[in-house]
Amino acid sequence: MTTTTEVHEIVRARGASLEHATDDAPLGANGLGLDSIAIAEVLLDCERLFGVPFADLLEGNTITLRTLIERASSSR
Amino acid sequence: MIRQLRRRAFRALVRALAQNLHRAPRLVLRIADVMAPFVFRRVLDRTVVMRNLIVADHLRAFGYARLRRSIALPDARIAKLPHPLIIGTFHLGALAAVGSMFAELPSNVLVLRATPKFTKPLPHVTIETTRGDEQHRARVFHRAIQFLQDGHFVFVPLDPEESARLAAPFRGRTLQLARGPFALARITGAPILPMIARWNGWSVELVLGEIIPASSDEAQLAAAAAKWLEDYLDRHPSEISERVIALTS
Repeated sequence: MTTTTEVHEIVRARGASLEHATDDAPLGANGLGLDSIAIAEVLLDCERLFGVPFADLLEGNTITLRTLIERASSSR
Repeated sequence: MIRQLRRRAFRALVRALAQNLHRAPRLVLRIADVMAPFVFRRVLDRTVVMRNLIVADHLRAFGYARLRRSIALPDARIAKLPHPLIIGTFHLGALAAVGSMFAELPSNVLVLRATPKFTKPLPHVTIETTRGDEQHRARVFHRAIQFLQDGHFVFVPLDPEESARLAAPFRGRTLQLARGPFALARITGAPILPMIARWNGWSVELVLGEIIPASSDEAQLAAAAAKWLEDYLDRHPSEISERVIALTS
């Protein structure tokens, strides 16, 4: 399974539909539509799976699928 | 226009009264009771609203320490509360005075509130504003997780103005509660303590419920919190607030 697929799986498991989504889609409103609790849980899931911190992404620009994939890739 | 001027003038009076609350709390609150019906005609419990306005202005002027000395009743259980713990309250009674309990808590406290802080917090109290976009709210939620994982307290309203919601049975109907506190309990394993600050005569009394153990079932936790509120309102039916009514369907 590729890093991209693993990230997609995590986001999908928290209730997002990725059918028409691009990797530049924000996780929240105007994107995948995840609420704040789901976004925080996606980051926790990613930290558990990839073993690198993700929570600091909350302090920066809008988090997209690509942001998550890039951070996850840095752990490999 | 006249109504606006009347409110503005009254706020000025409240501010003046608040600055003297520590000197004569009973007199100040009595004046507020008498004045309130002339200003807040459509508010369900005008007395509570006016008392809370005074408490808020008093806090702005003097902080929590003098408020505790003035009107808050001491409660020995607060200093012995186990932690990590999610302390969940409702928009009823003397909500504005609830911060008076923070000084007694035996660990750091993260307070989540919708609007910006209105007074300088105590050294061990951190205030986060939840209003904002989903990413901002996720950041605050994540910080709350960290606080609990570090063994501290998180103080949060259970009846939201705006947030993800969770329906719970309430008086034969349904009450919409904030999902966040129950998700926090599920994720961190921290229990929830429901509590309300209520006006008891001229003083503020903190009513602490039984601790609700953490569970992986958010709906079950919400139902337990709603049941506690239901029991509380059965004991004090006149204290129901417009917020709770609005969230009930």
